[in-house]
Amino acid sequence: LFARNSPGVNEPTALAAGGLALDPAAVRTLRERLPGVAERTVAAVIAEVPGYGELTGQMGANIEQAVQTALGAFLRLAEQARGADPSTPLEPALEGAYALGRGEARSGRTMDALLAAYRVGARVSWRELSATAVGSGLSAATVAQFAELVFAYIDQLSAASVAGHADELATTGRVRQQYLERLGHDLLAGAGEDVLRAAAERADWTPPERLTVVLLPAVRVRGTVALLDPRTLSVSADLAGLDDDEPRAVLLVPDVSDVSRAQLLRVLAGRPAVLGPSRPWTDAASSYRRAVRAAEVLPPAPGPVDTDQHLAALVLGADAEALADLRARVLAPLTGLRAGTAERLAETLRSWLLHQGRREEVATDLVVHPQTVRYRMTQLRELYGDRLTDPEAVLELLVALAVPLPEARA
Amino acid sequence: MTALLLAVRFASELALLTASAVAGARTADGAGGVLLAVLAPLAAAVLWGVFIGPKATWRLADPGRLLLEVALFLAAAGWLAVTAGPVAGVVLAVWGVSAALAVRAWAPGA
Repeated sequence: LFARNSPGVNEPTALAAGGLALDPAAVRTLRERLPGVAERTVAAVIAEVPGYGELTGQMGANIEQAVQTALGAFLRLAEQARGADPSTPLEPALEGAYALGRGEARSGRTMDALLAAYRVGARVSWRELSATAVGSGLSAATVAQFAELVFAYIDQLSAASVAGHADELATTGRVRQQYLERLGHDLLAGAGEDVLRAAAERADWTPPERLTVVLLPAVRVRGTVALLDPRTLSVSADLAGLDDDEPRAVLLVPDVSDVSRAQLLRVLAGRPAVLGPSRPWTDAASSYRRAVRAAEVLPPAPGPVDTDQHLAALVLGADAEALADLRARVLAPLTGLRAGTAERLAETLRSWLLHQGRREEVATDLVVHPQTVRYRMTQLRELYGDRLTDPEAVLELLVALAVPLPEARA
Repeated sequence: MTALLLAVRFASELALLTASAVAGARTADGAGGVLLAVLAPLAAAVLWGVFIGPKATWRLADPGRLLLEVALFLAAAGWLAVTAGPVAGVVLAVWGVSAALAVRAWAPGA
């Protein structure tokens, strides 16, 4: 079927032509009517196939010329004597049909539309050519052979056009994919606005107002992207500069509002993804940085993690060493105690600070009796003294203990 | 895959038109045969263009469209079998019906 891929072999038409040799007078009559047939074929395509209505001016003339070339090649084939090599007159027509298919794909027309044009062309050509052939006094058997030749020829032309259409889509698809990856890389790298706009234009990508970065395992990308906005960009882990045991990919999801953020989280349910904040599209790098930091700082979760819900933890995790030093300093009064006791007292102190000393709430939080809270707080007052009422010291304690202790997390 | 399927399907349509012309030419002698050879494929092409093709003027919905498509192929195959031999008829029927079903399975809407 795909004649373009085997240009020297035109078997169906060769077989059909093998049994038919039109007499020169009939061929002359047919050739004289070629321009009219081509014109009426194109007119019918324009009238009947949606999407071809704008085929006017130079474009229309080009297509008409292509149809005329194809019909001319067909007639040269039809007038050849039995046994002649039919490939020579077909070559230019097949090349033309292939180029036509590529052009149609570039013009944005679907393969359905292309084949619909061929369908109309086949009908009109047959009507016109058969009328002329019958007028030349051909027998029924010759008309049948003529039909075989006409339809086999159209089959080859259409197959060449379909191949051209498919090749063009594959080529442009690959090139565009590369441009989109490049654009994604530029966005994550925080390239300047001019660079980003140029990259977006080259990739034929209409920029959204805002972008939200989503980190997720590379194996989950395909299934997830299918559920998101078609403009969603996907960047592979290598490009994104991530270094994980499990390969990760980065998605850049357009225009995630408060409502659609909830929808996005639902789409990501069950996937270990990390969502960065929504940012103006030229500042997507900021969303990416936060998502990466969250992946480093926050504990792993089986489902999606929305960084907007963990801002305090992200701030506290911004300098892990400083936090560890601060924690060691504020917990220094507990160092002389047994590990279990120190841990329970630190946990109680954290809850007491967070609940502003409301004993009942602390007891509920820690699932202990209020008297236990009272007892522990007496111990803590003895250990910390005035520091529990000193604003500076309280701030340090709050910051140091705000995130649950690593032991408690484990 | 879709491109190949659409091309095979279009080829089956052209085979239907060719079969109609051949069967028409073999049905009657003289002018009757010529007339049938010319008009039978035209009638099939018009039916296809009006009711079946993806850009058809009054495209039927399935299963009506599938039934008409299968009926056209079976009618042409039967006619071809009677006039040109059973093998040609069976090949056309199998090809046409398979293409119709394959398109619905792998390229619905086409």
